[in-house]
Amino acid sequence: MTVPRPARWKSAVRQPGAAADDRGGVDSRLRLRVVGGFLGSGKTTWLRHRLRASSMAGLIDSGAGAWSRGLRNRPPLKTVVLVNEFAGCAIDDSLLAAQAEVRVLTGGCVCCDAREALRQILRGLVNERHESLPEQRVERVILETSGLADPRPIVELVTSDAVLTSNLLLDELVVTLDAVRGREQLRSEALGRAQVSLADRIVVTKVDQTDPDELAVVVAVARRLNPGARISGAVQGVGCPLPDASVPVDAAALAEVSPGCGPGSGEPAPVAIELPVDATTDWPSFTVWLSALLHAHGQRILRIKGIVPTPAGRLVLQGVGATVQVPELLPDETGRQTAGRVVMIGRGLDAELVRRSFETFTGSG
Amino acid sequence: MCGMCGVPAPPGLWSDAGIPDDPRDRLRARIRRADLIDRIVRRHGLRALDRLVAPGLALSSPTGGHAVAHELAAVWVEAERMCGRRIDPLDAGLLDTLAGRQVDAGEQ
Repeated sequence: MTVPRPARWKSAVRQPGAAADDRGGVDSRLRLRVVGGFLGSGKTTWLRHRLRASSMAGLIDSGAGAWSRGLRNRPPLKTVVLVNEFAGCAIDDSLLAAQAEVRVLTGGCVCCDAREALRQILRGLVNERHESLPEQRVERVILETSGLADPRPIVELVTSDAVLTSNLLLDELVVTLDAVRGREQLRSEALGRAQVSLADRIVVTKVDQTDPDELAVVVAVARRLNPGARISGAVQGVGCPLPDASVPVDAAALAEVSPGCGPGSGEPAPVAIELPVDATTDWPSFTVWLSALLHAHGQRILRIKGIVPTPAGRLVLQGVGATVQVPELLPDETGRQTAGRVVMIGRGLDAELVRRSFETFTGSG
Repeated sequence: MCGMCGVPAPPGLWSDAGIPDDPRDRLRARIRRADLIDRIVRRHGLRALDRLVAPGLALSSPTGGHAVAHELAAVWVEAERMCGRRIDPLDAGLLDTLAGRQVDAGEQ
């Protein structure tokens, strides 16, 4: 097995004078955050508020939670927002332009018709960044997808394109979910379920426009679709509390919109499988296991994410479907070197068998 | 670019990220991977060997079939093509073999 020196790993990623030094050795790739969600679910409103609420980076970073803990408390990042409109003309860009530099992709979704356009604009941003002075360098891209975009092809683009893999780090998938219409959308729209299933963070919007029982059902369904995601509420982009997970939900209402019960779905419910990864886990064996699992069962795996302690440092493992992103190396933190956790979310997988397979391959059983 | 054979290095593999930037560590990782893959594909009558002096993992079959995989994902594609069977890490028989609970037919 060849072990080529990864072009972007460590040295190649860090351009002379790039942000790597400023961040104490943190992966210096351009960070990409994808904000998705079904049509009218409040993506632009949420994003506009987040952009306006501070000089942007601090608030958004603090929301990234476990996967970006090491990046808090750093100066605001220069940000470019990409707005994708399914229609031939854009509207959302005018709403966002006051808060950030905005570039527009129209005439199709970035997951299909406008995918090549997205590739070119991202490559262009990478090139601009390489040619910029350090103080003018763009450090973050936020992609607001159209409401009809499937996040998976976007992730595949970023993780399969040679230039983007080396220079771009997919930071987080945020999906907005309409508290008023979310129940019906999740029942009837496979795309809506796909968006929610893949999210790192689900923001339930318009919380003030629905009654508590309905809100509890929407939140419960989102939790069932994506047990590994963080879920928060928002009103006009401002965070607000959600019902406690322990609050009983009307079982009939939940079943109506549960995975497998929606029209044309027939899908088994997703399961979240936690893998006991720690500093004793042998990384080469783990990669053999995971690559074999993705090859054989990638169609049934929705999401993989976690932190893996390795001899090279703690890695942020992120995967969507059968695709795994080149991991980000977290900065060293005393006392956290052995902590790790990987969660796999999949459909129709036997959790016990997956764990047994993991333990057998890695010798950790 | 590999200095030995001129094969261009891929842009970056997630599976290499956890290996320290040290030639000995990278060598050990290659050996460990090749050993585990060999134990897996033996079950299907194949052998896997990393010659270390050149990039890629060599797969061979008893009938003289040969392929070189340059990344882990390609190993499974090539191995399945050569043996004509699916390689499933959730296969209970494979897990028993790896756990040493039964004799691998390919090792007899």
